[in-house]
Amino acid sequence: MKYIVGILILLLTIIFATSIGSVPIDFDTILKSIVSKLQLWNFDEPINEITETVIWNIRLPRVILAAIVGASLGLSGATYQGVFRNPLADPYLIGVASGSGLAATIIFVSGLPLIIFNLNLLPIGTFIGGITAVMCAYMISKISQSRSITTIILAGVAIGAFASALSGILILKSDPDVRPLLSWLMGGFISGQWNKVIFLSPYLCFGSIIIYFYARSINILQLSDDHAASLGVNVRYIRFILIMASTLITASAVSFSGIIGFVGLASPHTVRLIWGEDYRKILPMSAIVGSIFLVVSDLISRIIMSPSELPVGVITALFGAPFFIYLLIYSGKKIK
Amino acid sequence: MNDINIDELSFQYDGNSIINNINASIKSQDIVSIIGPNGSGKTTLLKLIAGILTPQSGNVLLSGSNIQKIPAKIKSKLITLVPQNPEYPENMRVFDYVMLGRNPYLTAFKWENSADKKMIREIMSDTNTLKFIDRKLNEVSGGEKQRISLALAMAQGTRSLLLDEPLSNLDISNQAVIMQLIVKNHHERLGPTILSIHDLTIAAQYSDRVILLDDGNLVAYGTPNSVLTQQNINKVFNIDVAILTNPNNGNLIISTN
Amino acid sequence: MKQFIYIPLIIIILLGCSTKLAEQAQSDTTALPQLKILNQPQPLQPVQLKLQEIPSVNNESKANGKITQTVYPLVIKDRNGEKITFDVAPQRIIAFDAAAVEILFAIGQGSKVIATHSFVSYPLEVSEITKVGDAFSMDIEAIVSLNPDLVYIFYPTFKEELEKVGLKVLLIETIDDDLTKLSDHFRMWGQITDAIDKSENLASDFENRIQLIKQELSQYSSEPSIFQDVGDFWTPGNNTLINEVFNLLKLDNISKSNDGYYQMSPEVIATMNPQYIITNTPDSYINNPAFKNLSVIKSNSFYIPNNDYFSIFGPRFILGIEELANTVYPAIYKKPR
Repeated sequence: MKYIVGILILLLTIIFATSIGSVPIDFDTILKSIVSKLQLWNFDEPINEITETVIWNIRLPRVILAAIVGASLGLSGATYQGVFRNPLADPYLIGVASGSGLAATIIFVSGLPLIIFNLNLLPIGTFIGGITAVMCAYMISKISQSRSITTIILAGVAIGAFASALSGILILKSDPDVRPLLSWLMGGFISGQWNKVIFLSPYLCFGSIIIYFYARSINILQLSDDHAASLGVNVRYIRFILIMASTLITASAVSFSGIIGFVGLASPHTVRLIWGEDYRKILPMSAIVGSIFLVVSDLISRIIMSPSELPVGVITALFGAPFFIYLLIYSGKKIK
Repeated sequence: MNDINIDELSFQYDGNSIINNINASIKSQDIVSIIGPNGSGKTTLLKLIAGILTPQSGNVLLSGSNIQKIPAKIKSKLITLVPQNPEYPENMRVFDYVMLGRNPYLTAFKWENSADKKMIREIMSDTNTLKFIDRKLNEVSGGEKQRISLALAMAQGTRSLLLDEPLSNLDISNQAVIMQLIVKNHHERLGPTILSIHDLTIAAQYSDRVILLDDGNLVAYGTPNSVLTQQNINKVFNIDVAILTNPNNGNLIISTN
Repeated sequence: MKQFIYIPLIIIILLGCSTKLAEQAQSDTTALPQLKILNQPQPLQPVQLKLQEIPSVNNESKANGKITQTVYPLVIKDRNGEKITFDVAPQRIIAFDAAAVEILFAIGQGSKVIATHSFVSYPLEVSEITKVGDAFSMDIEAIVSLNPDLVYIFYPTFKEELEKVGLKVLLIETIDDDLTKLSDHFRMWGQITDAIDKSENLASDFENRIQLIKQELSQYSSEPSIFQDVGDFWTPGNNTLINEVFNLLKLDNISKSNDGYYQMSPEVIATMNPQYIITNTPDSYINNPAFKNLSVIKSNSFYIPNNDYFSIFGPRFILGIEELANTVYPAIYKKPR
């Protein structure tokens, strides 16, 4: 089944990405390290401690973090596209990015220490910011009592623009070292660590279970609201649940990785071009494709100007766009 | 039985009265046509009967139960409405589209099984859409799409079936095909079939009862002969017609003068 | 609907659980010793130094027989090559730059500064001075209403606008490559404001102190490795002013392979294991399992810089240089008993 192939490719990509980096490490050293970590074999010559640290405490956590974030963005992008019946939807459609960005700006500009009471302030703040923006957009559409889903999209766009504008003002008014803020905004895994992986995983697990529970209903949501209601789907409720679950996943991913574009938009499309319109297939495959895409992008961002690291968001667009264009042209020709 | 009773039904939107105190009793074995000028409230009435809209006063009773109180999943096995211009997701396979009709019988953990698949194939065969089974929805024509959406409704297997203008956009031959499918399907179900329609002749030909609406009011409800009179049609549509009888089968033919 | 309550509840529970898990993962890293700031690291080579006094600021003014009064009209070329003419020493200066303000005060011309931007805070007298904007925006109206006879800016955005309203604008972009240009910059201000004596003192003092360092370090041949983290692994590479300081101090900047400021890969930091790390947040290294093998942690040789010293290219820059020199080569500044 394609899922098994997909997961295999993902695992291979992860191993491949872990074996490459700014510091050259032999592939057999990596294998040795894996084998001895899993305690399958005891080697006479222990592996250099620094090399071990690079593999297990620097590279692997960040590669896995990239995989998790990629899966989150792919999955929530696919969900948004299904719920909003809009192929242009991406996970940031109704304000998560702008809300998180505003929160990050406030935190950086306020000069608060980034670690308070042993809690990392940035992920918490940006998470709250992202969720708040979406809730505002949702409230607006509820108050307007409009039955159209376009309302929530427009509300999200408006809230997003507003939040971005506020961020801009704060940046202008503050003391000029905006480099850390900018690099957060552009996204990256440079500070990927195991505790982040552990923190983030429950959100992805929980969110994806909820989303997949309603996967079949997303197919029905592709029909008009009335038609879906006729088929027994509680449109408003399911839409709310799905938006909340996707927003949860997206906000948590963004809070650890910054705002990485293109993955959430292109992964579901790529999957759709190859595997069709059934969301029961689109959802898991989008997660896998998004995962692979981001792991590879992170790899490129690490080695293209080594030892300097480029923001991942730049790479996803730079390399993702041409590939996506190729796919569009190719699938167009296939239909003919 | 599966009668539908409409009791003093009224509906307003934005301060305007769309449906005004309608009373009608629809028998489970009847095919009922709703006719009336554009904007007379046909679509609204159908949505109210299907329970998609909530009336400000009055109610719709399905086998004696208030349709507003029936839970969505159960309701979707009892009654369904095929909308006027359904959405046809471009890249969805026809087979998968029709299979959506099985939603009321599936859950998050129970997906479609081989019995469901067999049923869909049969329905598609009945509606003469089997040849499109693997095509995408953007690869079939308008008339074919309309048969496909009928197949979707049939897959839902509800007792009562409502259709909003199922014949618009169809040529004369396709109109006949669809009507015959509707009639055939009607006899396989337990409840009434209610459809809104523009063509008065077709309404007369296929219906057991006709509802004539004007500006949200029920002008007449009864057999085609009793409702489709020159006087009624003139009053509601503001037009002079001649009512003839088809010598071959005794059906009414309504034609403008 | 009840389900709307469940969702926030579940989110809160999730947050709680993951925080717990993350804390446990965190506490797995080995407990590390307390950080001591500016701790003396191992000296590289114990050497007997020739002791020299740091020259004091007051007495060298007329020594070399140079001109000590400005001859007006004075023509100064700005960074674009444009010529700005001064007929007299400006009396009402708006200096939109922290370094310029400090220089002017240092050469005794602080009273001529009538306005600056809101992120200037040194010397203390600056709190009394009018603020006409922040780092990136200028209140043109306020500037005009103060009737300055010179506006100094270090980036070109508002130059045209200011000149359009008839103001005299001097644009000199931030020095970012050559240390020696800094002392010339002091001299320039001395010329403009007819304070050549004092500016010459300031400039010579700077040059002498640099010279002292060069002399003392001439006997060192090995170069300790160093890494500066200005936040989130951003680091100054080759062709930056900080790198020039490192070169002066015979420090091997591990970031020198790339130009300008960039984000350094943590792998490289961990592998190259710099002997010194300059950072404002040593905790982010101590608490990060990725860096557990760093020798800076074991020897406590983090250097927390005074941010003003290294970012304002003015009279206090030398203090930053000396502070860093003192950290790495404490022998230079030991005075005899």
